[in-house]
Amino acid sequence: MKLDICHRLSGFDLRLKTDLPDTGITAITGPSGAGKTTVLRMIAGFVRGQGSVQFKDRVLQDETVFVPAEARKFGYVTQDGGLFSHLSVDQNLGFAERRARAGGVPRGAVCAALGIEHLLSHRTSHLSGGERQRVCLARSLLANPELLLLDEPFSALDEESRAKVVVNLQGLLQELKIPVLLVVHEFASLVSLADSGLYLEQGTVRAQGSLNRLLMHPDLPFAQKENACVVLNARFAEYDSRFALARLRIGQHFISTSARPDHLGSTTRIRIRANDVSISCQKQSGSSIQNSIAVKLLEIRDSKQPAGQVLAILDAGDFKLMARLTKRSVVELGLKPGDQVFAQIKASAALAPD
Amino acid sequence: MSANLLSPVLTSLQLATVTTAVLLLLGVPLAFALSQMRGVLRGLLESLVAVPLVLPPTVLGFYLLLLLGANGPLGSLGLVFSFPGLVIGSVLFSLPFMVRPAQSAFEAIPASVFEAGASLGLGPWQRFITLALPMAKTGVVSGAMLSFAHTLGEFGVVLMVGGNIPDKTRVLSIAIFDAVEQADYAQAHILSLALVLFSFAAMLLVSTLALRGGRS
Repeated sequence: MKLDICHRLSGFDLRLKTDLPDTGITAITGPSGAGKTTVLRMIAGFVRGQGSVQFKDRVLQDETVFVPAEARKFGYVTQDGGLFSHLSVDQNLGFAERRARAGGVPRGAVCAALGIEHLLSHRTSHLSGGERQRVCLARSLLANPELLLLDEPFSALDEESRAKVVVNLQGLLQELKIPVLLVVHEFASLVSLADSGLYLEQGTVRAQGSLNRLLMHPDLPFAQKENACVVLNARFAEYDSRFALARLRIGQHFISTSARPDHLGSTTRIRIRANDVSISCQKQSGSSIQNSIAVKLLEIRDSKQPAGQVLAILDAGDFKLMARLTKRSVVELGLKPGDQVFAQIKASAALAPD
Repeated sequence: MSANLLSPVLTSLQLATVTTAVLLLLGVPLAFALSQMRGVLRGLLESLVAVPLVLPPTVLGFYLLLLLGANGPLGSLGLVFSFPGLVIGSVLFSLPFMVRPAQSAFEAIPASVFEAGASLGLGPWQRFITLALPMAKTGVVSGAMLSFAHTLGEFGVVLMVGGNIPDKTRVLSIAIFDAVEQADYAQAHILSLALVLFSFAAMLLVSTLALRGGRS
């Protein structure tokens, strides 16, 4: 997706020249009013603006061309939905199915993943906000679009159902192989869904790249968060039922975790929080911490909050980690960038996605 | 009921039916187009559609007479003092009664509905037929009822454009006027009462629809 767009917003100009991945889930994130939704609406064909938009080999917009939204047929799910109120939930879904691109997933799988089977006979006016959003998502998925544009699609869901929907949605999207652009505000959804992302502020790109690049970026708010973390793809290598511990392979390293993945050999996204990682200079044996990985200390950053703490960026070869340390331990251990140290990760830590 | 009484009733019903049908075909798409428009052109068109609300019917009738009359630009069509001429006058005169309620109903549909439709591949015309019309059903039906009732009651325009030709262009309201002129109060009573009852029933239906539409 090649974007070179310019659009006047209230107070500032949205200026974006970038190339977004055509696979996976790409997040567009940033503070409110940064122009995120406008980017999505220009790609959908609802806002014309100026400049050019190109998806795969198709020019959707330039000086002479403007492909209307109905010819782009990108799935589009917003905060308030756009359900057809004269139709039941069932009929809303049928509406999309009749116009779907070939090769989608069956309705049963979509409804089960989003937990809306029991709503099929309902009128849309009787749905709660969270139910409306899930039905909208289902309708878009059933149309099997070439590209799915999601604008805060979980904003009306409570925490619990959001976590469930996010995990199931991930599975569905992998099966459908539909690239997704996701405008997202909350950290949890960003961390559990995005593969890569773009951070917009005042209409310009502050940072762009892989999810971990954004999560570790020194100028973005994510690394300063209390639950700052990195996201890694791990393969479930073995399971020790005696201690209920799973061994996960990440690159060439192994990590033990108390989370139990679905089945051996499956890959899973895990999240390692900076607060669950500590550093020692020697490989520990007598410690209660199970996971010790040789890493190179790349950078020690002063974190603004909480006071007295720093954020260490660690390179494990295949991936990077963040560790939250006290300033005191940095001094006591004499840590400096370039040091070879050991990162210790708590096995009981929140390794599972969410 | 004597033929004398029945003929203007039939003419009026016929005129109201044809006018409402024409308004459904022209006024409803116009209302949808207006609801989707922005800017100066919309304001201009809305005002133009609304003018018959405040204009004396005789003024509209007068200009139509000039336009359609034997010496007018469209004189060769022979529309003046004919039923089709009456229909043209009535359509223009009742246009706001169709367009206004329909337009409000279309405007009440969130833009996200049409965006969802477009992203499912529906072009503007399909969005109108498959989404806007069924969702604005009550507004459209109210508009049709209002137009029908309003056409039954109109006087000035039909008198100017249609004349007062028995069995052809003599409508209910003119028949009542004639009856009163001739001091035939019995006939005036029958026709007037029928019109009052019908109009009341029509308005009752419109407000019932509005209530139901507001609830769903």
